[in-house]
Amino acid sequence: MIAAWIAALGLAHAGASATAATEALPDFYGDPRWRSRVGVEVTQQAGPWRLEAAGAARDTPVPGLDAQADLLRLRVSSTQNRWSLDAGRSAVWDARGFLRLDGVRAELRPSSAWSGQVLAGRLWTPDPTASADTWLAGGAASFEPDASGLTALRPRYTLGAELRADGDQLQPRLHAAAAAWSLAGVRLLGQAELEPSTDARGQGRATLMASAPLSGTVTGGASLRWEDLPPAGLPMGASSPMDWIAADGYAAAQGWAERRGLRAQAGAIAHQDALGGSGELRLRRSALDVFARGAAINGAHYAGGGLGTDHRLGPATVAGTSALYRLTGLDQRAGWISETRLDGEIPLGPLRLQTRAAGGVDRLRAPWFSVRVSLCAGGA
Amino acid sequence: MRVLTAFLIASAALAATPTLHTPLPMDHDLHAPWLKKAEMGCMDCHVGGDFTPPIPAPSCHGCHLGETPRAPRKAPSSCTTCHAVREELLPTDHLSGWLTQHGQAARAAARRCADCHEDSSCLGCHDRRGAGAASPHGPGFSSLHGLDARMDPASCTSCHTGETCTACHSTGATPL
Repeated sequence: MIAAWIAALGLAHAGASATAATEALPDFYGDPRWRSRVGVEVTQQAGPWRLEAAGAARDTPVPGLDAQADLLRLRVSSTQNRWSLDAGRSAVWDARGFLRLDGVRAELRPSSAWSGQVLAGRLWTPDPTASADTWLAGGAASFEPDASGLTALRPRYTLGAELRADGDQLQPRLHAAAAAWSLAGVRLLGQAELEPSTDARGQGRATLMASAPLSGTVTGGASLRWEDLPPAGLPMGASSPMDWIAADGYAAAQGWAERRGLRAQAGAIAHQDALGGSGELRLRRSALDVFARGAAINGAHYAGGGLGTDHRLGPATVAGTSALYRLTGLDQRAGWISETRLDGEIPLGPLRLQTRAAGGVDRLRAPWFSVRVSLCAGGA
Repeated sequence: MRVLTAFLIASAALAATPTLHTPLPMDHDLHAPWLKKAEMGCMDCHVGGDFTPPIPAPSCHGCHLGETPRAPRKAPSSCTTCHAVREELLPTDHLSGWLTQHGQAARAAARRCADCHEDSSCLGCHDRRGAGAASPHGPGFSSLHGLDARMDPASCTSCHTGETCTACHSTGATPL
């Protein structure tokens, strides 16, 4: 790892973007550990062609993954008037959400209104414990009528299909979306995704979402979702918390409003076995952050809040956050839980020393304390 | 790029004029060879013969954001080359809850993100593992995550699969 550090610093000196971080985590309960990550990123632009490469080597405390080297990105892209091409690891965003793809993605724009996208490759997940391996191929066509003006809504309609494979299992997915946005800050989305199945019951997910400035100083938004299909970025064979919590799907609603740093947010969830709700009120004023949160579901609930602050002291930065909650768990045991975090960062020439001390009382009413000290270079 | 230009113009119209570095790092001698190569004259930047600084933003953005076909390829495109306060350039919906809200917003207008961000802007956070990985979870999360996960289990899958849960919860000491 020391050699990797030297290599990273050498590459940084040669003009590449190199990052390195080594953490020491002394554990006061008998399991001290350390972990390290060294990353290098290179970006080269030559005319319309762009090369991005990024990799990282790391030591982790995850059982069975003591050390691993990841090629995080190796991507060649080109953007021309009528087409663009990506090869390597890319972030694919669409109305369904986000997926990370190791493969090829091409976008064609035969006219200003019509565009199409084809992609093929392997889904990648940052969860180092995931063992599923999913390959997919698919495409989508979009129609985007011309619109101009500050308040004009710019609509976009998309239809797409893809085929996913994991071993000898094949799954088709269909998706459709209608979205619109305006320069004045309006965003609208209606989206549905379906996985046809030979079972009597296919699976699907759908979203309705709107956000907009409500007045000169107030912005608000609301969404309504039905989730009965793992999100697009999750590999086929991988389990998800949905499997245990809402195996037959759930509906979720959320609303929020913000005015000059004061944000109010409320949400609700409903599924076969439970009805729950949550709320959050947060005020940010320069260096001060005050918040209150609560949630209730399945007879369990919590409520509480806290405050945070950050300051610059000469070249150093310090920040602190503290929170106190009254929690009644799913087992109906009630108690106070708390956590305080103190963060500091001191520049040491080209390096930075970061520290985090945290402690509190957990839901088993056991006090705990932890310290993390990191030495970093670059943007790590 | 047309969208970005329109957005910047709209931002300028809706908010106060963005703060520029004083003096602006605009050196006529430095620009002269590039302007000559692009066959650009005084009036290409000083639109309408207005020589009062600063020149209109579209004149700068034409070359520095590559909107003019004649733009030299080496014109610096970093916003902070001229703009002193990067936060002033933020779109109006990048509010205090943006860290948790940006996913849904991007679903409604994914192409709009690309006006300012590269692909690597997403992966820079969303591919992280191990040391240096940023966490969006606030204080108390280790005790509250059971309830928070029950409020929206699909949201966990942005970073985790179910194997993250079973790594601890299959031991029996901490049942699901």
